[in-house]
Amino acid sequence: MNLTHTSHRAKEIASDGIESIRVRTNRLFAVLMTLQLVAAIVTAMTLTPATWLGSEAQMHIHVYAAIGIGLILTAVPVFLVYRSPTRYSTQIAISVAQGMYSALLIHISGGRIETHFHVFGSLAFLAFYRDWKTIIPATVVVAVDHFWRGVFWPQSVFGVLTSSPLRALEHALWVVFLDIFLIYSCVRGKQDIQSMAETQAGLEASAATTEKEVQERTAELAESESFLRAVLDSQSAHLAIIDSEGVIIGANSSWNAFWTRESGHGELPQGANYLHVCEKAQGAFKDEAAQIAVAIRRVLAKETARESVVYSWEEGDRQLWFRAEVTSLRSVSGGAVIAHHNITEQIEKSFQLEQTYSELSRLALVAERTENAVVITDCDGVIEWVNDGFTRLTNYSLEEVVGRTHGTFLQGPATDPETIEEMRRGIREGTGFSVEVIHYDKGGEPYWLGMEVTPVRDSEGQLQRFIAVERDITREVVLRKKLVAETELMDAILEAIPFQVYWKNEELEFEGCNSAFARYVGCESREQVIGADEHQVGQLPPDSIDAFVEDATVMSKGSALIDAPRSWVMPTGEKRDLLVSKIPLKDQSGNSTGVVGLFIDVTDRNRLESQLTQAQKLESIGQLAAGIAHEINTPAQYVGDNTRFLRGEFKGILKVIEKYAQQIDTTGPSKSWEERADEIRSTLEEVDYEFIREEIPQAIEQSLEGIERITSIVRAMKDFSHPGSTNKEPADLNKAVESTVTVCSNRWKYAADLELDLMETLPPVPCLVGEFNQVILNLVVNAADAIAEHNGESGTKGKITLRTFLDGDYAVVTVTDDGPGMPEGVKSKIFDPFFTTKVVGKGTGQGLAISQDVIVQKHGGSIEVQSSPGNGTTFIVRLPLSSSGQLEEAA
Amino acid sequence: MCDEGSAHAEAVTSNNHTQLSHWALLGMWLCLAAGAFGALGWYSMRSGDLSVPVTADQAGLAVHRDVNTLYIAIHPMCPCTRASLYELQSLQGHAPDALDYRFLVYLPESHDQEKWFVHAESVLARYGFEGGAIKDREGHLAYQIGCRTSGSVVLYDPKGTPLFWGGITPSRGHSGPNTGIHAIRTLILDDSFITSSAPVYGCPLENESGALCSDTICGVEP
Repeated sequence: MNLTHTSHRAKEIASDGIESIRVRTNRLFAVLMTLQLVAAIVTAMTLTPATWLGSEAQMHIHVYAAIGIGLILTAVPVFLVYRSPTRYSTQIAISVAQGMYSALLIHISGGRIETHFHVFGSLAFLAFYRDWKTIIPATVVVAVDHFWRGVFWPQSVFGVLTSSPLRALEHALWVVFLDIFLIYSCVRGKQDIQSMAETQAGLEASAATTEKEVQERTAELAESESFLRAVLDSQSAHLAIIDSEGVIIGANSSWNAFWTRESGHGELPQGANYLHVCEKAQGAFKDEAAQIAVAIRRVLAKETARESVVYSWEEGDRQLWFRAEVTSLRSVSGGAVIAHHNITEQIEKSFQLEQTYSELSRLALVAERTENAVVITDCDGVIEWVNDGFTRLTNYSLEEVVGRTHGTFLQGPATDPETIEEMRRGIREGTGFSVEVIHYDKGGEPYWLGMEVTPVRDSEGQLQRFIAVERDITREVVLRKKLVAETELMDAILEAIPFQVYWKNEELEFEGCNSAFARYVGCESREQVIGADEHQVGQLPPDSIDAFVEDATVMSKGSALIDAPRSWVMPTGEKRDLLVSKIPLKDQSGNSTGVVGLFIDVTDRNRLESQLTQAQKLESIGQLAAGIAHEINTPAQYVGDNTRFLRGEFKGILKVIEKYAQQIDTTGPSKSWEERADEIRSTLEEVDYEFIREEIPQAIEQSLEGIERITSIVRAMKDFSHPGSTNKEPADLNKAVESTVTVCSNRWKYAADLELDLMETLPPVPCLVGEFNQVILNLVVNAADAIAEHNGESGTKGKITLRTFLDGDYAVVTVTDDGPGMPEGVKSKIFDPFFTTKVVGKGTGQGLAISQDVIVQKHGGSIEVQSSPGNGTTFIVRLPLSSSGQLEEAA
Repeated sequence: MCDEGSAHAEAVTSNNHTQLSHWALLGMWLCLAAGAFGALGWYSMRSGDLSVPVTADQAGLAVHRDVNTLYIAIHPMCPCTRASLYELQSLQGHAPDALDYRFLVYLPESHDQEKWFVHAESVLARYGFEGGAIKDREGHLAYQIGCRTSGSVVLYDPKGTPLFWGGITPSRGHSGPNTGIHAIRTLILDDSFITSSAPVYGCPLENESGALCSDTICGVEP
């Protein structure tokens, strides 16, 4: 770049500027020409629209001129502007046309002096070209026009005043006056353009030099940045550079990839604030980010040159570890480099080493402290090391056994040779072994030893040594043998007892049973039962399966079921009665782990009990027979007496009737009325008619009462002695009570008065009414006996009260006497079998025992006694209004 | 190099030819424009017919007994008339009471004469001439005093003798210094005589017969 070039460039710029002005001004004049054409036409049509030939109007010549000359003056310049906007001739043509437009407008405006300003305006517009030569053609045209008008105007030929050319000259001078300033302005303008072009050329030259230097420096900077970028990107650590405010000003590719992958938000753009991102972080990484933020703030505050934070990061199933190092940039403006190093591998190795060390430490501790003996041998079984446990077990010290094998000092005559051979084979083949063997300690005492010998191999599978873990199992062996013996004993007991026993696991599958149970369920052996449940074992009918219904309930509730009566159908079809007991099995925590079932076949016992009950009833009836006979005899006697009385008196009545019959017999001798009356009267007196008339109705009435009494006793006997149904049926307890006290009235009426206080609305109660009658009989007889014994021969009667009423879901019958009452020692035994306070021969001691069995076992009710010496006794019998079994809480 | 020089020479030659043709086109255009201006000038400077007027008595027109009377024939619709009225307005400004202005308003029967007359009065009033309008049906009066072009004037002295006749504009529709108005101003202000007539530029006044002038009445001014 030199001066010549700059000068040449200045000329180019100036030329370009002038050409640009020319083109721009040409376009301006093209528009102006068009507007002038329109203006000329409008002016002509406004001022001189028409010319007149008398009464006829024609378009005025000015209109033609405006259109025709206007088009001529406009078309060519506009065409040249369009085709050759840069040609000098175009602007000269525009100058000429503009001058002519002034002439045209002046003409069609009728020479208005104001229109002459168009000339000055045109010249001023032409000065836009900044070329004084362009002004000249317009000036010449105007001057010629004026000159032509002034000199060649026809008027001047015919006397135009001389002042007219002078005025044209004056106009021309004004135009020249204007031209001088315009030309000066154009010359100055062109000089300014030239000067500006030179300045611009100089600036361009300077800018080119500066641009070149900038490009060179930029290239150097880009190369340097590229080098630094390559260095940064080559680092595996995630690097980010921040300014003193924490704003990211650079990061390497590892960091960008790390951020994009872990944040899921794409690249953190440069300009983002690293510090703020860390401080505002949420989620699982929040605490670590906060620590990094603190480290960054400390470094940025120049409190320290470097800070380090270790943190972990979950990536899938793997935990990654990073160390974030914040290092000061040490520049004036501050800032820091943050590097995240992936130290996962180091941490994992460290953890592995720590775990290995810890494991080895624990193993060493175990080997040293374990009660077991630990022996390390070489590949041939030669002892290399033993622990203290070995010494405690064998009384041999480490020094005494190193270099020896087990067989040379620990085995003895009781050691099983086959076991010894198995041990040798395990050593020989390098497989190790696990045996139980008898060894001898240093004192020669034998003991059972459990040996677990394991081969130790290197990474290539080569046998290195054996590790033997030995444990004294003498106690275990003894216990095991004892357990076997006890199991056999238990098995024998189970087989011997006459009950059916089974036990189930949590899944309610039979885990075991005795042979009796196996037979009951139709299996030939116990093994066929084990593992099955009641639906799978044998071919049990539904009635039998019901015997297992409570198993789940007993196990889940943990409560026992005791002696619940159940029916059972044997595989042969024979029906049996069972008392079923279920007891839950529990572990040490008290959780149910199964259930034990016990079947007691009470078919025979029930039959015997039934027979016994009936026998006792018959016994009662037998005992009552004399009293009943007496009860029947009394009315029978007076029925007989009255009957005999009627038979005797009937003869007298017949005599009277016959006397009356004779009186009406007309065949006999005739008698007077008086004679007849005297005969009848004599007969009535003879038979004592007045006596007969009073006594006979009474005799008949008494006889009927006696027969009624006998009938009621017989009915009561019939009700009492009825064996009843084997199943509980709704019964009228009031009627049962009445029948019973009637039957046994001979047993109490001499000792006490009996009062019945029976609830009339008492509903029917399901019961075995025959057995219930027996209970009431026992209680009433006991009460009468107690009163009689208490009162002795004094003749004082006691009182027995029977009440019936409802108490909740129970019907209650109470038997109260005002006898001597019972002391506590007697009261606690009265329900025991064969216990009695009566004299020998009067009581068997079975009455209350059977009564309790009837009420409690067969009816699910209760019987209790309230008594104290001197205050009488009350027995309270409760029968449930609905029939059901019972569960007793296990102790 | 030879090829480049040759091409450059060809380019220069071609450019020269283009410039020549360009300037030639400009020359032709300039000639065409000048011709058009010439034609316009010729038309503008073509005077209308003018005849020597008869006396006022002969024409049957009244004249002012104290001052000269100026009869002006005008076509109400002729745009050229405004140039004449402008000159008269200027003249009246210089000598307000020197002349009695009477305007013969051409009213052809083929048009609404009242409308034309009212229009003429409004135009005259615009130039300061009120009350001087005379209805000249079919232009008979103007014809009698030799006025056959709108803008023609005849100046009579108080005795009815014509002192000046002709136009008072330098060209058709153009006001400005001209012989006619100068001659009238000289007569009334300086009482000197320059010329008795001047060419008149304006719209022809046509009568029904189509004759613009009757030699027997108007006479012809060469």
